[in-house]
Amino acid sequence: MLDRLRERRTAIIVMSVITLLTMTLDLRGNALIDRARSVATDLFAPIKAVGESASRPMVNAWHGAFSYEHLRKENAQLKEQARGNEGIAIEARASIEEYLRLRSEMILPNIGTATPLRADVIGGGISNFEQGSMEINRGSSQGVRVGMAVITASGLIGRISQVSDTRSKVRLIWDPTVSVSVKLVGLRAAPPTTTTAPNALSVPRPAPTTVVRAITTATPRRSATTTTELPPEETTTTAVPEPTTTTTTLQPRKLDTGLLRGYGRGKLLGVDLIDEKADVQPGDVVVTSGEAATNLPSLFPPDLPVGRVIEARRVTGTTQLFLRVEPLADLDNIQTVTVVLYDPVG
Amino acid sequence: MGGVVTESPWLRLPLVLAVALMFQTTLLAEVRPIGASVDVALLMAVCAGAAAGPLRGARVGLVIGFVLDLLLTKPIPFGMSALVFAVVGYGVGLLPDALYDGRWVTRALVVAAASGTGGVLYAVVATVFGVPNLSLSHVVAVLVVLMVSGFALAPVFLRLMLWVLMAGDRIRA
Repeated sequence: MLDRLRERRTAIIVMSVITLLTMTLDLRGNALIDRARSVATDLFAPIKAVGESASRPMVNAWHGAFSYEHLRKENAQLKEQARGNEGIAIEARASIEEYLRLRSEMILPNIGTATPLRADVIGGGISNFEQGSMEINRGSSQGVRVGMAVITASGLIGRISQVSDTRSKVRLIWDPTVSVSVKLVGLRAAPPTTTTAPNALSVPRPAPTTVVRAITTATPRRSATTTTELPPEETTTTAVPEPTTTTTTLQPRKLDTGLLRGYGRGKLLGVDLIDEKADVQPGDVVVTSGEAATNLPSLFPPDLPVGRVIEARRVTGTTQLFLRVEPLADLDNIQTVTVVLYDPVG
Repeated sequence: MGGVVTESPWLRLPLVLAVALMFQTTLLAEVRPIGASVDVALLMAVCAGAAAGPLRGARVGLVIGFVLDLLLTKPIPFGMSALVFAVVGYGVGLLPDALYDGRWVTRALVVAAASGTGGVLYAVVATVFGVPNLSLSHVVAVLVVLMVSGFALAPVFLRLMLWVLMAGDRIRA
């Protein structure tokens, strides 16, 4: 009896030690365990495919009864489409800003090449405690690597966390384990300048009794000028004022970079490491900076739209700002994604 | 083929486990009442302990946990499910025989309580090892779903694990 009791105790102690050892190894990063998980994912893929086929009617019945899957998908797609237009506009703004900055500095870094790879979401977390992840049907055989960015039409949604030959797992940006180096994008109106421009009038100055006024304004973001000639105005004044040019332009704000982190499902994202003197306003857009957030090289290309600043507040006891950011992409209803196959050169 | 499968528990177990995980990763991952899913892997570990005692319960829990861990991803560390399932299988196996006597309702209640305990233990270990996104409301939802599903599925899974572990008609070896 005592021997049996001792045997049981020894067994459970040995098992606990083995599991704690493997957990420690995995947390420290172990290539063997990563490889084992990758192989297991590929081996299990056919079984899972059979399970998906077998369970699809039941899953549809469940969603049909409780969430009207079809309408939900359609709604999500329409939202995604609407947000996509916004994302495109923001991306364009970021590109303009980047272009202006590079032109001013005349330093052109090599930003490498990025190739989009479309993928379908084939599942979420398996366990009750595996949240913030999803599985996609693309893997290393299609060029996917750990650390690559995953986007929708609206913007960044996550990063590749695990890759097998045919499948990959994505950690969503609201997960606290994901951090991304970002920069702030926003255009600011420069102070209006009023200058005397004698050459603004191309027509010969008329007689003292007639003045032709010209109003010159700058078109936002393009700095193109338009001139409107107003009808001649009868006057009795003999002194002719010089024509004036009032120019209002939008200039890119000073670039500030920070580190974006998630704070859990349904919560706003946060950006820290922003200098307290930074010019940040609600509505400013956060895009990826393309720089590495860790000591590993970044596989995130620059200027992927991420979110919009909701508020900025100073962190007590520091000289930094903390920004609360709303993600641009809908992180709850994701059916298809795009993996950005980015290969930074140099 | 059928004869080979019925010769050893260690041949039956992979077969049943593969089917269980097949539904765990597909049907049950999608069907989540109140935001939590039924955990058949944990239920198998619980019923293994109930059906075959602490030692075999712990061994089966360890194996099931390691296999499940292979399909999970970081930040859940490899071995966490194995640790929890082994401890739960062992613990359920240590419960007095009297708890399993009598009506099936009693057994189902024991399995439900053990499943809930396993869920809480999982949450505690996950918190200790820094797994994020564990809110109290989610843990409560998991607890409720595990206990209800444990109660409902106990008769089926107890019989299943008796067959897998070749424990005969006894609930515990």
